[in-house]
This record gives sequence, C-alpha cells and structure tokens, in this order.
Amino acid sequence: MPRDLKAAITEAQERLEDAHGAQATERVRQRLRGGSRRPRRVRWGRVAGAAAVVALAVVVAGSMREQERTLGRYVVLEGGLSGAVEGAVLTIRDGHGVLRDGALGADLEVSAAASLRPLDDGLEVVAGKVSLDVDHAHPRAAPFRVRVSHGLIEVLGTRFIVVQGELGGEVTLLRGSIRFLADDGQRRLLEPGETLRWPLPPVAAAIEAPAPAPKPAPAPSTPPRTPRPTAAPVKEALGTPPFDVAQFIDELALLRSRGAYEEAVARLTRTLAEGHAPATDERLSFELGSLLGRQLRDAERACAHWREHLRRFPQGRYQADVTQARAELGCP
Amino acid sequence: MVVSEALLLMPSRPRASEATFERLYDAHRREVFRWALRFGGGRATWAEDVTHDAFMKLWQHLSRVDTETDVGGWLYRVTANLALSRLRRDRSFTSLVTRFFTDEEEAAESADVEVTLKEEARAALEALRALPPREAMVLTMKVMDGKSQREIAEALSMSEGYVSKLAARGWDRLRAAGWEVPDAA
Repeated sequence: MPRDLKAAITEAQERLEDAHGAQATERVRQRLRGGSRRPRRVRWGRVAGAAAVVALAVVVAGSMREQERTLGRYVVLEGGLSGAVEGAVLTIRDGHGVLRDGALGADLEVSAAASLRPLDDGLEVVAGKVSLDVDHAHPRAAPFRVRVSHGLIEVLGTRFIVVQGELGGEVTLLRGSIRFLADDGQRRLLEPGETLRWPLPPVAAAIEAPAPAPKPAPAPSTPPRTPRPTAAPVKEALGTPPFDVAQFIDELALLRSRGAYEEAVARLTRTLAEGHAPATDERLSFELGSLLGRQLRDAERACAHWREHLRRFPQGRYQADVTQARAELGCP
Repeated sequence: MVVSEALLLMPSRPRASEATFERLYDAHRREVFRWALRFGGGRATWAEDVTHDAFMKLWQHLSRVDTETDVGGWLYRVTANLALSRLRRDRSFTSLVTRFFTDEEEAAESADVEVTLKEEARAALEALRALPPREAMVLTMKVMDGKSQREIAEALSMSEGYVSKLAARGWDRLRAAGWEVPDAA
C-alpha cells in the first residue's frame, strides 16, 4: 500500500513549524539587526578524531592498496562503469556514471565511448561526452582546465558539458563561468545556457564576416504606458555595465509581481536592443514573448514577437515552449 | 527596529525604509520560513538561514518595492531560488566537511525532530531530501505549494518542458520508494 507523501509532509511541516517557527524567525530578526550570520561552533572532538583517522589512513595507505573502486586517478562515485586505462587515456567501455577527481575537486559524468586523459591541472576530453561539475571552492593551485581538440576550456567554477567529436566539438555551460582559449589565440567567455562550438572561425574570417542580423525593432505596435519613473541602476549611471542576467531577471520579477507588465516589456525591449551574448538574448526574448502573451494577453504583439524569436533562434532552447505558446495564442 | 547600522551602510536608505522593511518582515516572516522549511526537507536551522537570506534580498531591493508590489509572490520566488542554490551547494564536498566539523545546532535540532515526528512523517522528509535538488524543489512546489508547471518554470527560470521532466523523474523515484502523491501526476 503506497504511503501518502503529501499527508505525511503536511503533518511534519505543521509540527516543525509549531516547534520552530516563532523562535527561528525571531532569531532571524536578531541576525538582521546584528548584521551577522548564524554562529557555528567548531566540534573540536570531531576535528581531533578526523586528525587521528587521517593519520591512520596515511599509515594504512602505505601498506595496502585502496579498497574503493577507481579508474585511473578517478574514484567511481556512482553508476556501473567499466573502463580501461591505456597509455594514460581512460576509455569508458560500458555503462554510465560519475567519476570524482578528488585532487582537483571535479565530478565527471561519463558514459560508454567517452575517452579522457587526466592532466595535472584538469583533463583532456579525447572523445565523447563528459559533463563536468567543478567545485569553485576547491583549493587548487590553478584554474581547472579541459583540453579539447582545438583549444582549452578554462573553468572558473561551474557545471558544463563537453562533447568532443572527430573534427571538432562543443561545450555547453549550465552554471558558473568558463573561458574558451582557442589554439589560435582567440578567447571566448561563456554565459550560462550558451554553447560554443569548435573549431572557431579564423580571426580574419570573423572580421570579414557580415555583421549579425539587425536586432528586432524595439518599438512595440502600441506605445507602452508611461513607465513609472525609476532610478537608473548604478552600473548604468557609471557606464560600466557587465550585464548581470540574474539581477535583471530579479528586477523583472519585481515588475511582474506588481503588475507593471508594460514597464517590464519596455525594459526587456531596451535591453534586447543593446545586444548581449546569444544565449542571454534568447533568454530575454523568451521572457518578452511570455510577458506579451501570458501576462498582457496581447496576441498581435506576442505573435509578431514569437515570429521574430523563431527567426533569430531557429534551433533555440525554448522551441517547444514557443510552439505551445503560439498555438495557445492562435498565431498564424 | 530590525535593520542594523551595518546593513544601512550597504546602500543608502531613508529611515522610512526601515519601517517599511520591518512591516514587511512581520507580515511575511512566517510564510517565508514555512516555504524554506518545506524546501529544506524539514530542517529548521537550514530554513532559518534561507529565511535570513531571503529578507536580505528584500532589503537590497527595497527601493523598488511599492504598494502595488506583490511582495509575497516575489519573496516566494526569491526563497525558492535561494533554497535551490543552497540544496545544490549542500552536496559539495566542502560543504559536507564544513557541516561535519562545525554545526552543533543542526545536530541538536535533528535530535529534537527525532522525538517530535512520527515515523511516517520522518520517512517522508527523508525521501524528499534524498531527491536531487532540482527534482525536490519542483515536486515540493507542485505537490505541497500547489504551483502550476508554468508558475514553477517562471519562478526557477526553467522551461516548462524541463519542469515537467524533473517532476516526472522525481515522481518516479518517490513511487519506487513506495510513496503515493495523488495530484503529482
């Protein structure tokens, strides 16, 4: 007989809230008043115990082989993997799982056919797909690096996926920040959601290439209501804007939460016209379409926007959602 | 007064903002703590930290809050995102080591929870905590908070398709562990 999760958690929630709610929020009030974080005391007993265990482990490691399952220098964290190390290259023969590079603070999710070579400051993806989760807080001496066929990915603490094919490959950044250093000296900084493929076009070709398609016309078909006067963000006033997507989305959420949809549309339209990384623009364009269609229910503007969105991002990440939104709006 | 001099040094604010913040804190503290408690799988100290961070965010954005703002809705979104970040961070090796060596309060509260909760309720919280962070968040928002797929996608900045996939995966794991969630399908 399956147990009712919702009922069980509701009961737990009520008991815990009764037991802790008032005191906890009062402590938060005190912490806000004092501007401090919750104090944590060191468990010296555990520290001493851990020191003893480490000392013992050093002795034991010197006299016997480690018992945990490893593949080369990697510890198999989860999954049923089988692989072989030949000439310093680890090839996953079968299965799917996660390897931990304890020395460099990185977890690698790999499956059959992936090949990689451990390096002193990271690894080389020789072939196949590897998803990496690099702990930015790990005290490594230098940035974690991933070598691929046409360059180097410098990791600034993050989660990303590398796919290496025979002639080239790609990296998709999920979280954090990475920098791609191509063998020919080109450098690209990626934002979350962005995919970079290599080889990159040569520098000369990139310069001679035609300018990117013009941004969509910023003016909506009907003028927005007079926006509420708001102070310009400090970074804009100073003219030094590294665009912060998360901050911008927070501000949009605030506008949404008070129903200032036209103001949000105007902010999005202006920001899109500035031009940012393709992944950022795609994300902002998706937000704009959602606002027009779902919040403002302006089918005409929304359909026009989705048409432009699909033209700019024909292989975009939100394609299924855009298709659904267009169908709901009855877009031609 | 809630706001400290240290906080006041961060941005320059008129004193009227302090009163506004205090009013908002009193109005929303219980619900923010309740959400955080849910997102954290019943860990009270954890929820307290998330509550603190959520109100710090509110303080940072206070100049943009006015009478038309749905502060509760905004705080829900902020709390959910802070909770998700924290759940993911909790799984890092550094975080595990730090907690092991420092956090006495967590242990004290866990002991308290042991005697307070029934077996079934404790098992339910453990099942939720065992899920990968994003699946746990999506399922909690869907099942416990009654949020729609679209609302979850907007709050967590995910596509609806991805939310649906996470919910399905989480649901499968819970079902395999013997749990029934009638309105999660």
